[in-house]
Amino acid sequence: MTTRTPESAPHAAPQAPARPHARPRRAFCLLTGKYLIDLARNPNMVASALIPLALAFAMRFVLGDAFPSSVQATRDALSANAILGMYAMMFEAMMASNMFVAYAMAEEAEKGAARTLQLAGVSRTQMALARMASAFAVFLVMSALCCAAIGVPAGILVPFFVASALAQLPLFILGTALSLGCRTQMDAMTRCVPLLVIPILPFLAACTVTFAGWTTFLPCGGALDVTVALLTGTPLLDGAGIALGFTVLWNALGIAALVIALRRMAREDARR
Amino acid sequence: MTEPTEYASIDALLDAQEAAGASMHIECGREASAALLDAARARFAGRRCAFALDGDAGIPRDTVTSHLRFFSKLAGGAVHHEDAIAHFGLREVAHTKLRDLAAPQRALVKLARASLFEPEFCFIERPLSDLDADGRTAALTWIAEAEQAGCRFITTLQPLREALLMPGIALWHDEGRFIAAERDEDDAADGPSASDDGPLFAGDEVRVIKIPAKSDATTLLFDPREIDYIESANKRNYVAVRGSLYPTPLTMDELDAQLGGFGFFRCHRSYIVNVQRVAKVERFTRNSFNLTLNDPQHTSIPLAKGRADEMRARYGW
Repeated sequence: MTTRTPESAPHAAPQAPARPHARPRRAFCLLTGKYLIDLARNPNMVASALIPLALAFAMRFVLGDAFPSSVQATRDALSANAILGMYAMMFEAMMASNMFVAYAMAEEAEKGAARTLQLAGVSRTQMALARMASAFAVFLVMSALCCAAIGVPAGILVPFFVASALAQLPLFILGTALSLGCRTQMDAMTRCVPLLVIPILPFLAACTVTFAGWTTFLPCGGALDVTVALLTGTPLLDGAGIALGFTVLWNALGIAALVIALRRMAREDARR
Repeated sequence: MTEPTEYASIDALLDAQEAAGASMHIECGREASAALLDAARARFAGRRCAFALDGDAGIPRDTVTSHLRFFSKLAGGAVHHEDAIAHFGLREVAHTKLRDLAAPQRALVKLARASLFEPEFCFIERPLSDLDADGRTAALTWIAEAEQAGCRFITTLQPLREALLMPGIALWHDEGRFIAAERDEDDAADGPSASDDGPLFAGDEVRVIKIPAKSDATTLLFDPREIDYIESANKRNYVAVRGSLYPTPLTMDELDAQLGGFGFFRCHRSYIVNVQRVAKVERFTRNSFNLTLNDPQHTSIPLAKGRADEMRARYGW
């Protein structure tokens, strides 16, 4: 039988005066950084980010000029190049909103990590905003690469990219709102079907004459008119005022959906 | 003998906890634990709290170091994550992913994470259940030192024996009530151990001692040498043999009298231990001692402060 007095913990000290938990902005920044690192460490997420880039290269070097030429048959050359860029942005936005937002949030809930964060003083709002911010940041980087890879002409690259990023933002906001209620990754698969459909619709509409006029009004569809207006020197409000207005509207609706979802989750958390 | 203190509801329990400024360790099931958690979160919402729950987890791909580093920063960074890794013996698994950890290591990571917050109030579910002997030492050391520094714990656990190992008030939950278990810290009122009453053998007399216990409808008769310890819990007495507990109809005094000559020692009002099985004596605070047995589970038994001197004198350590 041995007698032993354990060593004291190296960090144990007389209790300091109570300190509050991390301030909200600090928690948001810490969490955003953590989610970015998680994305980089997750092979599934890395693959999801790279697939659109690989397809962009494939579109350029396999299809070559076939795609823009086919669109030019029904639309003008300027629109055709912008539509090419829409493809690149669309695919990356689909992957990012589904994988980096929806599935990542669902996994966090499924594994109990979300509850651990809540018990540590992090709110659902902070988690949701950090997830959205990290996913959108990765989307911006990867979609810029996709636009360059697919061969969007340099002359329209910057204005198109800025306009498209704003146009795709509602997808991330809506994705966050839809993912808040996911308790498992299977839930995410069902709830996030809109995230697959919404970005495709304006792309398909823009490729045809019959439905091209609908592009302006659709979520994620505002980029086309804005890009054309910028390149032709048309004042934005004249050439793309409606598109700009609908882009702002879709973003506002996304924010409203997110606020409603956060309030509903707060009520559910209080009941649990 | 005074009646144990009883609390009729969770609110009454928490009121008493705040008034006494003591930690409370409650033997209860999962439902009661969940209700306690909700009540404690509501009551202590404005304070610096930490929680370590059964369902707690991090992202499986996180390593121990990255997981604790993040929570250290979230907690304000006063406690460095490397200090927590060192104290809880997680150095060897510091770069292991959380999903690859064994159950004892996962349990220690939860406690290490709670320690990063230097909480005023800490709620822990099953703090010792999945831990091995070294892990229990690390956990009990931290709990004792944090308690002395001003943190107040509420833990929910099974069995009651674990509650008696920790500083504060031990209680058990029974049909909505919380009943305080009797502590045995300065107990000299029992007087000399019952096993001191005269010689057990006289001349050529051969005494055969068998300890009866129940297993379903069967009555088992145990050789004292098979028994690891005797435990009194929830108004019943149990014989611990090879990791299992068997109820016995004998009283603690009767058991103490019969087993005293076989190397058993009444180390606590609620425990009689086979001293041959004791591997370690540990002291975590001024008033709390533990005996660790050499059984496969490395069971820990509380040693009352008042009986520690008697044991020290009798067995010369």
